[in-house]
Amino acid sequence: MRFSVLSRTLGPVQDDLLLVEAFRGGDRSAFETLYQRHVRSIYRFVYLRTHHRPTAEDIVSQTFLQALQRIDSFDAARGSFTAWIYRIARNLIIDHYRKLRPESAIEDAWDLPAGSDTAADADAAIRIQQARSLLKDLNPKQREIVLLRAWEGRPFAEIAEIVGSTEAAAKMTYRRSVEALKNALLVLLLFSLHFTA
Amino acid sequence: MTPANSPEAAAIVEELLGLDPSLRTRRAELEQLVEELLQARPTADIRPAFQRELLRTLRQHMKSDEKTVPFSFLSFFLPMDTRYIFAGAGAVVGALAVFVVSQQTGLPALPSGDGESVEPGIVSLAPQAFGQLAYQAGGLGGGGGDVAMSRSQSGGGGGSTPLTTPAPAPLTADAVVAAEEAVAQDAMMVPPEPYRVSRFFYDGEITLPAEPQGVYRRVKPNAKPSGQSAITDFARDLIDWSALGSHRLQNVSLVSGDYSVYIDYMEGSISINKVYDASSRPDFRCQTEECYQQSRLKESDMISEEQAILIARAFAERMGIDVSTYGEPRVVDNWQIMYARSTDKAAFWFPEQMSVVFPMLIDGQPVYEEYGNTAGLNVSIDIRNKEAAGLYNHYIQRFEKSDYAPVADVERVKQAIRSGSMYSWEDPSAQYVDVALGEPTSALMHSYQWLQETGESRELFVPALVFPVTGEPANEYETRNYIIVPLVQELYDNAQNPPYPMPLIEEGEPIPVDLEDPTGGPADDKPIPVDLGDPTGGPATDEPDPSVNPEPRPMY
Repeated sequence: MRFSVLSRTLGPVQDDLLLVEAFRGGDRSAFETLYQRHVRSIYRFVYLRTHHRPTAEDIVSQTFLQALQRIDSFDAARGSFTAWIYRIARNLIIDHYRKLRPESAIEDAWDLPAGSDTAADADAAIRIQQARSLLKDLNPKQREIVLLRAWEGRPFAEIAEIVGSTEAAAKMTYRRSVEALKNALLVLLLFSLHFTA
Repeated sequence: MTPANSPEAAAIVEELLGLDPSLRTRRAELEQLVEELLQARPTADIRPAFQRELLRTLRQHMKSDEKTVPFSFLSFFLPMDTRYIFAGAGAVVGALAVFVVSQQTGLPALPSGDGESVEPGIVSLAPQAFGQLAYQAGGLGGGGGDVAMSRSQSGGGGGSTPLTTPAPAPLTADAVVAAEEAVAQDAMMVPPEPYRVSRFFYDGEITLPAEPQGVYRRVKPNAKPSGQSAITDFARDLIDWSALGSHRLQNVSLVSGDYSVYIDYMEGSISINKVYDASSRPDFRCQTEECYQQSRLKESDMISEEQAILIARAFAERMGIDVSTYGEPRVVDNWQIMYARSTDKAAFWFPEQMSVVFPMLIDGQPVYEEYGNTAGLNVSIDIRNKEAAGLYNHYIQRFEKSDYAPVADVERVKQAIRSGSMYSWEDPSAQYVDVALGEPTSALMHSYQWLQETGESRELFVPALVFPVTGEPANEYETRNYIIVPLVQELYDNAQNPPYPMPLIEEGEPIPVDLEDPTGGPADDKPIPVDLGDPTGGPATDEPDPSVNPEPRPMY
């Protein structure tokens, strides 16, 4: 398979771009490979923002189907495939919370009280509530960047693309967020695996 | 637990210290907290089954060149607002449908295609755009009163059946068996002799139109929703869906509160039926005829037409149905007529339900079924409980229009009027009674057609003359209020499937067939000798008994 050779010689970003081009050229298996590469991280991204498995599966499904539909609109000059598909997922999550509470601001999904949220999975409910209280002092953009960096382990360049910022600004926001939480060390529960930057 | 003894926790701490060196003074505390809290982190592992299923779905859509297809693992019944995006096959369909499960009602909206509106509308097409028109038997209507009959194609969704004639008495086991046998024999019982049949006449002059007649065709939804969202965990695991290829949602039945909702995605219709608990019926535990009789509705239980219309309006409003595009609603049941005609009023069985119809209007023209029933949105009223029992014939009101040549032969129209339908066959053994018709008006006749060559069905609305029945009907069972005759030539030229009278079976003993014929039975082109009363076992020859009417009789 073409991708298996490329994957040994190129980085993940370049691999993604080649896969996109291969799919556009008629190689359907290229999209399957893109799917296999990203589905777990996209699911994690969505689940940790919805806390509800069926909802997360629904949004992940829509994410990849929209990606399939819109892949012709993907422009490698404007960012990585990873950032692009994360943006699709993020927009769908926002749509989801807007429907739950139409008057809520785009970035305020995290602020929704548990009662108005989708039914969180039982095993995650308590932990989610803890995280909710710990992050409540951050503004939505700070929170999103902290989550993308800590929970998702995304590089700052990618985070910047996802949230519509610059890499430098994303780093700045992250540092300021940590500074703001310096006196509340419990927030560090949210800093987790997958540091890849 | 050893602080920061995992690589992940250590990496987190190191990065934090790198970002904010002032935290170094609290490093030990930081390490312990990070480690403990990492272990408390919610897991977010993807289900392998979901991952496989989504990949399978993506493959299907890549194969079919469909750009986007709805896919949801949420049940229809999840109380959440979820959008389902459907798309047609690229340039072929070019439709992107959105299926919304309303958070407020829990009921799904009709699938709406990309640019496909559910708003009423008419699109004019070139003349004869619908191809050849034909008049087919087995359409809508039939006998009965001034009621639009529910079509099997539009579902109905089970539940209660709208009653348009007096409700039958409870069936006994014997009656059920007898009914089943009658159906199995595919035969009709012989009506009491002599029987009377109406033959209609109109005294005035019939003026046929000279200009082309606009025929309307109902537009069905373009959206072909996928059935993915209906395939729940158990269904997904029971079979390998990939073995079946792509699939679509044809219809679905939902239960919400006290009502079941049937959605027909192919026809673009919704019907609603009350879900009844049989045990709540007063005759549920009846074991005796006396008990049944006591639980029957009485004349005093019947509601007025005004009450029925109020109930129907309230129900339509509750369901969010805009009835302003329909005509003035009216009650269309015949129980009053039947009651007035009945000779044994004490034995009359009052119906449990009655119907209110909101008459359908196309281009401002009223619509009638072929046998004179008013077409439209029907609301069934539960008389006993004084509430709506259901709603049906609720369609997307979108049509195409195309001109066809008008009928030119006035004699053929007169023949259709005389027969009360396009069929002119008369039973020679029947006693015909002339029944007068009043002044005709213009309307549209609803005609359901099956296209054999394509296997598709279509609904047409053909310009017609509507004659009110003003004379006394020939028998107490006739309740037709209108006679409808179409004004398009092709329907007369291409009348199909004339009614073939079903074989008759006299009540009483089974029909003995002469099996002792030494010739081995009659030739294929000769009728089978049937003994309808000869105690000797039948005629000695295979000649038909001239005393037996060999002609078929009309359906009764």
